[in-house]
Amino acid sequence: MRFNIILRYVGLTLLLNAVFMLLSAGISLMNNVDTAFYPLLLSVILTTVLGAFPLIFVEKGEQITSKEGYVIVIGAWLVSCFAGMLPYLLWGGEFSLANAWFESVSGYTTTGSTILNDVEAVPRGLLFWRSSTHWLGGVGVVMFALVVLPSLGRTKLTLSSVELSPLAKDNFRYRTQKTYQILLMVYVGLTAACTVLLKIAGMNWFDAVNHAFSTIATGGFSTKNQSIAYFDSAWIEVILIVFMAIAGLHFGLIFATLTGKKNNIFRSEVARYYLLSIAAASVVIGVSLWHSGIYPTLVSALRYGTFQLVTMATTTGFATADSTLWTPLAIILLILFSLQCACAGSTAGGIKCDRVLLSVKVIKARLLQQQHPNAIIRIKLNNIVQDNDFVNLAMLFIVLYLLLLGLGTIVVTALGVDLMTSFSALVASMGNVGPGFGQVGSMDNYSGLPAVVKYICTLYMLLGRLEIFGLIQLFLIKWWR
Amino acid sequence: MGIRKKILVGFVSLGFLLFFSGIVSLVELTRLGRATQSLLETSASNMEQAKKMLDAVQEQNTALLQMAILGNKQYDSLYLAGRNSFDKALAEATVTIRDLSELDSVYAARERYNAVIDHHFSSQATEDHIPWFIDTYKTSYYELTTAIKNYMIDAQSTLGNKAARLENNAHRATVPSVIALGVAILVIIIFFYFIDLYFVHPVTGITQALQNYLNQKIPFKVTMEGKDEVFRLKELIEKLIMLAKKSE
Repeated sequence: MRFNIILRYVGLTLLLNAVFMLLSAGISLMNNVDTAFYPLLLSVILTTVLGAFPLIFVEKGEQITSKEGYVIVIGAWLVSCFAGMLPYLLWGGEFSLANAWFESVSGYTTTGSTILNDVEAVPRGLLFWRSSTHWLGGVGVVMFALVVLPSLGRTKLTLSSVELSPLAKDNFRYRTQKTYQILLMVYVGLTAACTVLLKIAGMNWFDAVNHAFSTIATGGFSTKNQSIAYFDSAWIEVILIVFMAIAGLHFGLIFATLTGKKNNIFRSEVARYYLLSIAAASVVIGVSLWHSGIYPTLVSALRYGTFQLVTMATTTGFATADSTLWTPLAIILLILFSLQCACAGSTAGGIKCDRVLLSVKVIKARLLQQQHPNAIIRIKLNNIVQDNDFVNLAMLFIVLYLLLLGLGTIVVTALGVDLMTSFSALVASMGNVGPGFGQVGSMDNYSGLPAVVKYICTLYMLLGRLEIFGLIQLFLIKWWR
Repeated sequence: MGIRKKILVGFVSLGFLLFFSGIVSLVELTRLGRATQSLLETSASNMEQAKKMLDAVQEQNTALLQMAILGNKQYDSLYLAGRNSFDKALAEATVTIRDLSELDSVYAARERYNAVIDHHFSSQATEDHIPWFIDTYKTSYYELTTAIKNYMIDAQSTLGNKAARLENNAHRATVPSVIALGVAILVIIIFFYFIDLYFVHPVTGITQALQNYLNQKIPFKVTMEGKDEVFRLKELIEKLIMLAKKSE
């Protein structure tokens, strides 16, 4: 494995981060050189030096192996998280080392959980940087860099095998470079549309851009302490519900639908399941909240219930209400949707609808096999027959996902955190959702957790973002063939 | 890029990194110094204004006491002087203070205090001075002095909060150097790795290959990356060997 090549590509990713840090410093400058200006400027310099340094020595045009490509992707994620915490650490305030790391990882993995008790006390430049980490993380730091870089040749395919969820790749019918371009186009387009609509709905430009970054990346960082509840606007909530739901769909499908192609959202079995399950659960939660008297009218119960469900099911993690005070039925549904999350090929984390639907079909097939032992039963998803290895891998993923959650809950509980908080915090971290229940509810934050628990949560965020195997394989790379 | 430029860029980057982190620390330290100085000045000014106000109230109190006990109107000018001093001190505090709401209770107490005195002396009830002084006046006097003392305490607590925030400035002044040093160490490690990979390793490879060729006639073969001076040196050696072979 050639470390010089790895350093070159990881360096390019750092340079991309430096560009967004510079933009954030520009915002600080426009806000009368607020206290985040120098921390951001120094972060730009540190990140640029680190990122540009390998470019001086390593020449472009080198072909990379799959092993190197893999390390580049994982390395880029980890190094971005380290570079991303520099502005927080340099600014100080509530950002200790553990808190800065937590906020950075939470940003890049698009989790959106925060350690900040007073978000509004943070200067605008730093708030913009916080949202930028979501946006960069959402598109996939490496994937983004690859679109920008013109000199990669065959290497793109190698990198994409790690960066994209294996399930997502099936739906793409394009060359890899084309895939990246589609993703980027959809991503930028949705961000722009969301920003404009939020502005029209009453937000100022700064809040609109930041919330659009968070929404399309399915992140969840807000510029307000009360998150979306601060705006108390039904229009803003409706816009966010629509864009969060769209951001949870496969980006290739969104593009196909917009361009009138056959392979679109309406024909996708997974997309149908995703949207219908959200709609059904929203109604159930709404009725439950109304019936229990938490909200006086069915309309208000549906409004808050739908927003909270969509924000958690799409792994965004905004808040318009304190869902920890809701009925047990609503809470259990929110937890289940935090486990399932959205579709593969979106910026969402979690088990993903594709795997959940696949597991239902596997169970159905197994039951049918028991009734008809000689029958040859094929499992289809989106009318495509799924390979046995692929199905096994998906099932293994679900088992491993739940095992890791169980193991993590035991460890965090042993560290003195209550069961509800520890379980929901890990579900929210691994699914890249953000808020959980208990101490880490939708109107609370992670600041009260011990530092070691915060580190565990960040590990789970990375595991979730890199689809578990992605991160685990890094430690086994020595034995790769 | 040639070897000389690469090494130069490497060292310049390191130097720039440390220089800029030093500048940021310096800027933040200057900010910290200014903020500390301003904090101390505000604290001293608050104390001074509160003292002036209390002295002025005390002057008025003494004059009114003399007037009440002795029924001597000559103390009227002393009372008016005290009232003027108080108004002056309050006006100074109003100009210097950032949050005017902190002075609201002082203003309100002052209004009541003045109203009690003005009402009494305008009613011409000269023989009721002592009961008025004990029953009515003293209440408004204590109210005013308590308001001034509360203002002093509130102003000092606000300054205490600001002092706590200064801790952040101290953090911002010291952390850049620590982080920049950490990054510099990282850059040095990467720099060393690249120098070894692109310069030291190829040179030792060429030396070894040349030695093998000269001693044992093993063909001169060196694989290396890059197209810098070392690469050209290798190519020239290969040409030289070819020429030597031809001339043999």
